Amino acid sequence: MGVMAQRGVAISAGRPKSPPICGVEGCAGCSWIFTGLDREGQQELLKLMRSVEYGADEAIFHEGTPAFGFFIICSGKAKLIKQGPAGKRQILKIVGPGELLGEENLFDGGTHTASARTIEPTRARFIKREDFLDFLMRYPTVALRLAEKVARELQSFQAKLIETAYESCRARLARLLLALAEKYGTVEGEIQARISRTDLAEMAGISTETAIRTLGEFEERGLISLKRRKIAILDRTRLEEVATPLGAEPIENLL
Amino acid sequence: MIKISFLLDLPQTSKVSTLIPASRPTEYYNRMTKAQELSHWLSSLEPAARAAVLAKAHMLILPPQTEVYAQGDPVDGIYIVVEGVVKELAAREGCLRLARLSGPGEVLGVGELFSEPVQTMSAVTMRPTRLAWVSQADLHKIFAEHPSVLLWAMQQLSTKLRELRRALVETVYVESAARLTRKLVEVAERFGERTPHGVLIDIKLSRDEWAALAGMAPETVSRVLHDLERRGWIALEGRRIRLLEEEKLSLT
Repeated sequence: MGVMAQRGVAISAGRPKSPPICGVEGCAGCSWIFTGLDREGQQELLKLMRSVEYGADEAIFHEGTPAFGFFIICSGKAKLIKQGPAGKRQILKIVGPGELLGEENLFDGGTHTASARTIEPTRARFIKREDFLDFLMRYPTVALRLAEKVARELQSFQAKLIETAYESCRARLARLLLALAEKYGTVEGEIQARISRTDLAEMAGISTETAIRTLGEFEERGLISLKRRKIAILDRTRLEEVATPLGAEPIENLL
Repeated sequence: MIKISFLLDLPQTSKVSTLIPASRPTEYYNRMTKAQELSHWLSSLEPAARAAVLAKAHMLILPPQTEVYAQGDPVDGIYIVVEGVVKELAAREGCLRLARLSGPGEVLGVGELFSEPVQTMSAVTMRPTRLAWVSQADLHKIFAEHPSVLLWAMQQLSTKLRELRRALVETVYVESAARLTRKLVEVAERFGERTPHGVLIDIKLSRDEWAALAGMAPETVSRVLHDLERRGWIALEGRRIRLLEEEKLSLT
């Protein structure tokens, strides 16, 4: 296992999910910010939750619209997208089961600073902003963990900004593929997520043309193999060398 | 440098205490002034929570070009900018990679407070600056007694996160010359001085620092600045920059 994968494991291993709160069958656990919440707290939180369901590729909220609360993803996946100039978009992160969506807007004026859209059919729990802020005042340990989560995200975006400004498209794409493999796992090298070339490009912050050309180059060099929307990593070590040409830190929590 | 503390329990091992040069006189600084100035930036807090922060805030009065903390220093609390300008810099692999300017009302070190053992950027004053420092230990006591202060700190975090995301999208999609031009206008609006001959950015930043502020190569900064000067839109005065055609620059 390469340096990046080891660091990635260390980051995720440090934050095991909290036990399920809703008691819904098949739930593997909730966000780590709720770890250690007593029974009373769990019951209180449960009362604040409202179930919501979305189909694949449906809007959850739009950038610039009022943020009435945030979401905890129960099943499925969603992407957080920021609008750029001239209709361009940048995917900021992808969230899956047990993760939070829109939580950073709880504190800063109540407007969504990015849009969220499902990738696959998604079930989630919604909690109203005022209710949750009131809950945080009574459960400061959850508030401290949430602060840590937002602070970690801040550090990761700081690293992402440096990466975006200074590193080559090749490094960005290679790093993204490794991060996707880390997040979704691989079976015989194949990343267990179906992601379009356009989404890959938007996540890496490069043009679709460059993404397609670079993926082709990686395949030619025997680093990866491509089958429609499935990508398999064939030579992780060399892909890691491409990903960290400067030996830079890997990006935590970006996906 | 002059450091004033209203508290007797200032930890002697903290970074702040190491900032006090023995040869400089201590200047009287009115307790009421501190309360009034800081209160303004803590106005969203309820009175009891605000008083708790004020009671533990140490005012630092720093001349320009003073290092507040270095990248890699242990995190020791937060610094609320009351007056002046602070430049934050992050270096990677020995190269300057990220820069940020903070002015009154902005909070330094809040990102690291919750997640990092050490400062991820260094901070240096650019003008005569006053900072209100609250130690990490005091903050955690205040958070426990007044959870609303924790929510206030999270609001500061969210604001920084929003700014970073905006900069990220700009870095990806806005061409570097336009990015630098926008940065010039932004810095002029926040910290510039209006003169009969345009807006003067009286903050001396190197080419590398401008590059780190706008997320681009230093060579590109020189090219873009000289191009803007040729057009007569800016005047380069040593390390100071004067915006002569603010409107044209804003439209870029």
